[in-house]
Amino acid sequence: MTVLSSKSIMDRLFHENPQKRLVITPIISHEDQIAHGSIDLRLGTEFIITKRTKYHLLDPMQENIESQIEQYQDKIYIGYKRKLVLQPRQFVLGSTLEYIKLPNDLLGYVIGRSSWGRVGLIIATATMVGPGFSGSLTLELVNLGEANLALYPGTRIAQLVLHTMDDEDRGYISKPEAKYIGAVGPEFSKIHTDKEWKLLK
Amino acid sequence: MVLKMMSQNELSELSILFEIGFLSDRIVKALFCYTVGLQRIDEEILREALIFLRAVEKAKDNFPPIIIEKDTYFNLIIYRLVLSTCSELEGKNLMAEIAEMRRKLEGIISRKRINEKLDSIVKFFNKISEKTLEEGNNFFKSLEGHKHYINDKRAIELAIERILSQEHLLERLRSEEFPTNTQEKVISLLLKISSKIYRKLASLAEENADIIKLPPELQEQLTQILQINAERYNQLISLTYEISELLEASNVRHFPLGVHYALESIISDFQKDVLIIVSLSGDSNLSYLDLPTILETILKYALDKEEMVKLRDDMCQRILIFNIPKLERDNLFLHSSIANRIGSYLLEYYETFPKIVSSKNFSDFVSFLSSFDLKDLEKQEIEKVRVAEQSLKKIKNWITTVASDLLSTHIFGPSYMFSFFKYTFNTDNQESEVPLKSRLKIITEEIKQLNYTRNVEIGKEIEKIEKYTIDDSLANKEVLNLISKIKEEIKKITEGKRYTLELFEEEVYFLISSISNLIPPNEILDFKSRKSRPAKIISILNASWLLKLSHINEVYKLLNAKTSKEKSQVDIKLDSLIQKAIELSEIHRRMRESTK
Repeated sequence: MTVLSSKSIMDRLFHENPQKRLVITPIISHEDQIAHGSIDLRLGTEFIITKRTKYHLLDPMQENIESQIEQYQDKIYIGYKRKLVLQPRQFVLGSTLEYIKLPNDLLGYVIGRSSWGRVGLIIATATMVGPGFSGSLTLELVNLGEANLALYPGTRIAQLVLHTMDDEDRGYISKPEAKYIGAVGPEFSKIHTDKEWKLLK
Repeated sequence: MVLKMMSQNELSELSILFEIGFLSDRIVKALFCYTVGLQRIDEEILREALIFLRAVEKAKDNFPPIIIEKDTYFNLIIYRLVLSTCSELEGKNLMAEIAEMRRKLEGIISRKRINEKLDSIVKFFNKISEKTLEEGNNFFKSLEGHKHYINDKRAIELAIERILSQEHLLERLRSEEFPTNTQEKVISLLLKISSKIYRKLASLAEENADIIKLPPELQEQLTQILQINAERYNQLISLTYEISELLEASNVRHFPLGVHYALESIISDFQKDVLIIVSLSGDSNLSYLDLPTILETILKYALDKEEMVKLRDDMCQRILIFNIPKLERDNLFLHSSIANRIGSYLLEYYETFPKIVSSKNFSDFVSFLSSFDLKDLEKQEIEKVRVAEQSLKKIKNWITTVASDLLSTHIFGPSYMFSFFKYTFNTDNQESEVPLKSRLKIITEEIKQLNYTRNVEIGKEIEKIEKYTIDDSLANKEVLNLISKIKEEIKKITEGKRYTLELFEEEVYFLISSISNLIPPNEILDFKSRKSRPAKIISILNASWLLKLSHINEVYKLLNAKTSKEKSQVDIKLDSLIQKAIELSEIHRRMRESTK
C-alpha cells in the first residue's frame, strides 16, 4: 500500500483501461495542480448554508428528519469570479469544483492546504475517499479565525493524496450504503439513513 | 404561396379561416396581443375579438357564405399582396391564384368538416376572449382607478409612492447574491432611472399644487396634461418594476449556473459585449428581453433628450434577460430550445429581415399597394397602411421563425432538432407562424444537408422524426426560393461560428462514454499527448441527447435500475451530471483563457 507519486497520478489519469483510470475533472493545469504526491483541488460553486434562525435541534431519531435537515439549510450558487464571505465560526458546506472517480484499487485522503489553515480555514472533517467513489467531494468549511474570509470558487483549497490498496475493493458504487454517489455539489447530511437508528429506536 | 405550403390535406383550423378570408388582420392583432401576454391590450382590440367571435358563431350556420363581405375580401387580397412581395408574383396572376385557391378549397373541404373546424375555432376563441375580457376588464378597472385619483389630484402622489417602493425593492436587491455582476449593473441603472423619475414626479406635484392659482380655462388644460403625464409615469413605473422582479428571480438561490454559462458562452461567440441575465418565470414559454432597447423605448416618453443621452452612456452594453419557465429550470434538454430564442435575438442583432426582403421594404410595399385598382378602398389610405403593417409583421414572423430554426440548427447541430421535436413539436403551439410540420421538415433537411446522418445513430433518429414532417412537394417555388434566400443569410451570419460535423464526431462519442460511466461530460482527454481540454457546450448537449435516445438502457443496466422509479432516479442523476458538465466546461475554458 503506497502513496501515489505525481508521475503515477498522471499515469492513472490517462490510463487507457477505464476500470483503472482515475478521474479528476476538470484539471485546469496538470503541471500546477499535481505535485509532491498530491493533487490540488479547487473550491466549487455550490454551497449549503445553515439558517441559524430556524435551527433548534438536529436529532436523527426524529420523524421527518430528512425534510427538517433541508429546511435548516439553504443551497446557493456563487458564480465564477464571485465570492462567498465566511464569518468567524460560521459553518458552510462547500464542494470541490472537480468531480472525482476513484478506481476500485485506490483510496484517497482530503487534506487542507496549509496556507488556508493558517488563516483559520478548516476544510474537511470527513477526510477519507473510498475506493470506487464517484462525485464531487463535500467540504465542511469552518472559519476558526477572527476575520471574515472571502472564498472564491476556483481557488485551490484542498489536496487529495492517493494510496493503492493491497486488494481491489468491490467499489463504492455497489455498496448499498453509498449515499453520496454521483453528487455534483455539496449534499445535505443523510445521517438518518444509517442502519443503527433502527436498532436504537 | 406561404400558406399553400401547409398542404391542402393538412390545413389547420387557423389556415382554413385565413384562406377563406375569415381571419382578419384585426384578429391577427388580437391573437398577437394574446400571445404576448396581453401587456398592451386596448379597448378596440377587445371589441374586435368579441365581434369576431360572434361572426364565427354566425358563420357556422351559414357556410359557405354566399357573399363574402367586402372588408373580409379586401383583407384576403391585402394578405395575398403582402405575401406576393416575397414571391414577386404579378397582380393579375395573384388574383387568378386567389380565385383558383377558393375553388380548390370549396371543392375539397366538406361543409361538415368546415363546421367541425369552426367548432374548434369557436372554443379556441372563447378561451381567448374569456382571458381577453378578464385582462381587459382588469386593465380598464385600473385605468378607472387612475382617473379617480387624477380627479382627486392624487395620481402623482400615487406614482411617487410607487417609485419610492420600487427604490426600496432595488436597495434590497443590492444586498442579494447574483451569479454575475450584470444584475448589480442593472440595479444601479434602475436606481438612477428611479431617482430621475422621482425628481420629475416631484416637480409635477409642485405644478399640480400651483394649478389652483391659474384661471379656470388654463386649469382644465393643465390638468389634462398632468393626467397624461401621470399615466405615462405610472405605466413606466410598472414596467421598471417588472424588470426589478425579473432581477429578483435571477438570484443565486434559484437555479444552477449551467443554464447561465451555456447562454453566455453561445451568445459571446457572436457578440462579445453582451451581458446575460437568466430569470425564472411562471410562464411556460421561453422568452428574452433586450433590456436597453426596452428601457429606451419606454423612457423616451418620460425623460428629456439630454437625460436620455446620459442614460444611453450607462446602457452602453446590451443586456439580455432570458426567461426560463420555473418548472423547467433543471431540464437541460430545454437548453437547445433556448436556441430558438437566441436565434431570434441574433437575427435582430444582424438585421437579417431587411436583408432578406431588402428590395421590398415597407415604404415600397405601401406604394406597391397604391398601384392596384381598388376603387372602393382608395379613400382608405390609413386603413391600407394599418393592414399593411399587420401583414408585414406576419411575414416578418414567418421569415424570423424559419431563419431562427435554421440558425439554431447551425449553432446547435442535431441537438436542436431533437429538442424541437420533443418540446416544440409535441406542444399544441398556436403561436407558430409556420406550421410545425413544415418547420420540422426544414430542420431535418438541414441536418441531412450538413451530413450529420453519416453517423448511424443520427440517421436512425432522423428516420423516426421524418415520419412527422410534411411533404414539401406541395410547397410552391416561391416559398422554396425564399427559404434558400434565408439559408444564404444564415450561412453568412454563422461563418466560422457554427458547430461543425467534425467537432461533433471528435467530441460527442467520447462524452457519451463519460456520461455512461457516471462522469460529467465536460472534458476531452487526449491519451497520446496526456493533455485535456474543455468540451464545447454544444457537444455536451448533443452527447446528452444521443445518450438519452440511444444509450440510456446501458446506463440503467450499469446502475441496476429496473423499476420506473429507479430509472427516473437515474435520469435525475444524469441530468445533474450534464448540467454540472456545462458549468465545469465553461469555468475550465475561462480559467485557461485567463492563465494564458
